[in-house]
Amino acid sequence: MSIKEIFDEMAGAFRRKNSRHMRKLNDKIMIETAIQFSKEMYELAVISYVLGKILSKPRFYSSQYKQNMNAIQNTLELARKAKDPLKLVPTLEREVGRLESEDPRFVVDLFTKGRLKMAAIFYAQGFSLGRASEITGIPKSEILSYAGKTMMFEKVKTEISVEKRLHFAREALGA
Amino acid sequence: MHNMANEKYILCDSSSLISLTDTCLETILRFFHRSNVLFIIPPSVEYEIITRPLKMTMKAYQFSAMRLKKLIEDEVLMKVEAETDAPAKEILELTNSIFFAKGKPLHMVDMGEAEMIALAKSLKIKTLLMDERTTRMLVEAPFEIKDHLEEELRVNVMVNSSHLQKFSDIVSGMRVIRSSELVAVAYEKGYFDNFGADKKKMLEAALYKTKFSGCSVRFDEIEEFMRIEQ
Repeated sequence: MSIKEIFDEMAGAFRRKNSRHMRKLNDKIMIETAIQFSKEMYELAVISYVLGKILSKPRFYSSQYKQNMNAIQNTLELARKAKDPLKLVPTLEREVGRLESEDPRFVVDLFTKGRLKMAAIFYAQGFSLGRASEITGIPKSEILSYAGKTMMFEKVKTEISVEKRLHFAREALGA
Repeated sequence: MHNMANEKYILCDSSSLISLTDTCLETILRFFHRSNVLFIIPPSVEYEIITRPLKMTMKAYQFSAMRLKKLIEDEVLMKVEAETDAPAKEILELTNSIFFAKGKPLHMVDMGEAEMIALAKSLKIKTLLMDERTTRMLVEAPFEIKDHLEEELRVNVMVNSSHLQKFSDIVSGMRVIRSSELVAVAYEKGYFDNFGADKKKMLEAALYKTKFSGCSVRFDEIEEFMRIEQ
């Protein structure tokens, strides 16, 4: 998928208030980012996550937020028509920030949360913690803390039993 | 360095040190240090867990960093510098060209993780303390990671067998333990004895806490720990 196609899909999903479509698009972008990593694709993964989050909150559909939602939609429309859509990302981030500032509920803003979540997904997909941190700029401690509260470690079985690993540890620790 | 003959060396990855301080269980390192266990870190880990967080504006990051700094000052954690640039680069190139998806190499690890392995090799340290999952799996069971990548990325993942073999030769003989094993052996050695009748309950709580702080241990493994530590 090209950057332009992604912005087309994001703008369409946001216009139709289709959070499911936005989430599916985010999944697709995450896989693409993992295979052929580029900073641009990573940014798009974060944006699609943030927009999906916004669309999933019914409170943002109330008249209180109409102006902010329109501003986000307009920025997306400008981006999909722009020669370099990524230049509009800071504007988009600003507009999302304005939307959030109407009724702040979390210490961490949506973009920061999105970046952390994408970093944790990279780690969950099978890339190392260091690589996930390097790609996203999120500190390892944040990724670890997030990952520890997910089911990601349940997914991969290891060949070394607890008994055997304890034996290694006892030997190494002189116990 | 200390008298090496009586000492046991464990090379620590940043992931374990982060989860140990996050759980306030880094005193376990002091506990084992009293029985001549030396916990080694490369300079890159020191930068990651101490220098960098101390420069960050978010004060919460400095909590773990300060505690780890104290462990270095007290020589429980020892920073060891070794000339590992060339072997680390070789390891990085190898690990990042073992798996391929859609004809592209998957960049699995970063320089810090490659340096850890290079340092272990250079210092002939057999035991790595590592809570991070991917590098551990690359050392122990690379084909499990391949299967996992295929499932997650929904594509066929090809393996460059010659690179995998070279990497396996490098890590041959290395063993990985996690914070969870450290906690369990500490329990066996009396670390939780001051909790009296509750000490086993405390072990279980500590194991869960390490998991939730990022140690790559599964729920069924924690149950297994509890069965073993009767």
